[in-house]
Amino acid sequence: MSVIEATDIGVRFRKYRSRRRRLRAWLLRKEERQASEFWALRGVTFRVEEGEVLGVIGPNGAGKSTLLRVIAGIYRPDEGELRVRGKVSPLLTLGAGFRPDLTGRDNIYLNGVLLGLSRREVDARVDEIVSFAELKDFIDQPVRTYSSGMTARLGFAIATSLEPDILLIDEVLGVGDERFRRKSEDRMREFLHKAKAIVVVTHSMGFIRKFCTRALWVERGRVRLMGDPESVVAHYLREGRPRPTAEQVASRRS
Amino acid sequence: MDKPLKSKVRERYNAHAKMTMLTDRTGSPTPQTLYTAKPTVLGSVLKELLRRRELIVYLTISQLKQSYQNLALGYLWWFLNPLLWMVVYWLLVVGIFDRGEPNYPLFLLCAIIPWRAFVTSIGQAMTCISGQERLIKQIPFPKAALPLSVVLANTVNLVFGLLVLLAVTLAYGIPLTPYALLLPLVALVQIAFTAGLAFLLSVLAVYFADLQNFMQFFTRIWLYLSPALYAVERVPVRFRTLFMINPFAPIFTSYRDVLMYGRAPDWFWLGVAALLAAAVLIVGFWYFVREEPRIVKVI
Repeated sequence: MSVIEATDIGVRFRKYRSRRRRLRAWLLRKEERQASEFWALRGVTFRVEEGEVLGVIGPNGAGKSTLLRVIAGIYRPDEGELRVRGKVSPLLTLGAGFRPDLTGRDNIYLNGVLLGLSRREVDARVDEIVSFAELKDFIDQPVRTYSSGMTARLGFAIATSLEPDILLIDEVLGVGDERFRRKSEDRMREFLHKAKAIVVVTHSMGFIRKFCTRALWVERGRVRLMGDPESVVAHYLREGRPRPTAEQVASRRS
Repeated sequence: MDKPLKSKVRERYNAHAKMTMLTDRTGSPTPQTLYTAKPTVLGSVLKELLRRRELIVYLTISQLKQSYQNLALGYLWWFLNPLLWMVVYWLLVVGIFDRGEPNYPLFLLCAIIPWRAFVTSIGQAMTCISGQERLIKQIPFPKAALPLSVVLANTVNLVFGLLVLLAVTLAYGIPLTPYALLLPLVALVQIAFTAGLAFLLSVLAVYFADLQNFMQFFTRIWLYLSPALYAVERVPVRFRTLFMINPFAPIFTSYRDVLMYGRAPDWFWLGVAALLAAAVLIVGFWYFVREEPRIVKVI
């Protein structure tokens, strides 16, 4: 059974050169508005089956992160349909919802309920989170007193305590010092086993080849190629560079 | 599909199936979500907010803790804040302009306490979305919980303020009448109105950052055009109707009626204010829900 089913989805943004332009477009309506629209994703169709690890690749600004955000339910598609079966954990940025003036403990609760846990579920996890983040002595101090490594560790510990069905990864990894990085990698591996499906956005072709069951190449908001990771990566590495124009190709041939 | 892919999928699937047997004892059905471009139904947002009420509670608590935790006097500010504002206006009106009403400090407090709750709500509402970019772009949750929690946190402040008000009334030796029981009703009208504006302004502040600067002046003028520092009776009769359409005119006078004067509020004008508040709340919420998917992209 497919866990994620995207049918022809599109996400549209409006771009304005400045805030003042936005006000003008708002007041003048229509023309300037349409001129400023652009599609970050369009006509994107794919499925992710249970047990799959989908790797998303593409150049910067291709729409990869937008795609993750659509699956996470942060952006609503402006076109098409997206069906998601199971709990989705956005592992996008760690500690996004932290309030610096609150203690670590308060932030665990706030972040937990933001991510969709109930108070009881947070109760059950709080000790484990604190010990995994190695913050026992600091947990009742305000987060603003934490070092950036401590904050990242806490964020990672909360985000990974969720047990999601579908895991979204946006090039995270690399949290804290070497030792904690190894520990977090172990946890990621454990995750890879537990989740029903994983969608990873990454620039690491090694990761795609090693862990993914399928690769999706996105470019300018459209699906360029999808399929076996080896062949998609091979095509991407060959063609992913700026493509020569028709004229250049013609001149090369002659 | 060529061979290596198939086997990889199978491998992963088997690993997963093993895990499921171990973990899936609860048998809870997997949630299924469908995302389309269709506009959101108001009812479904309400249902979602009700389901996520713990989130609203935690956002409210965080909001309250955040505003007081770093202060040396901490929660004492719940009492200090209205009393200090009272002193400021008392000095201004009695000390400098040599005006005032009977029992002027109490008279002032009846308006200043509700007004502070309102102004703080509006101010925080304008940053509750626009200041939370990181959060909103990373975690999906019903955004309406943010302005709601701002209003709820300030409702807690208001309740403490009203307790101060009750204490001061008794200190003046003014006997409470059964009409004092209407206090929550007046507060409710005020809160509904505040919530409606909070929904509206939290979205508009995302689109127009200038709104915050503008509102500082606007609320100041609004206060002077409301019977906060003076009594309604000082307003010329021919402007009275226009003057009373401002919801804070009946709200301030109702607080005074039920507490200071121990009499029934002006039901007609309080009713008008209640209707206005309900209208603003409905329009504000509707606008918020309509704009919610767009906010995330603009912010």
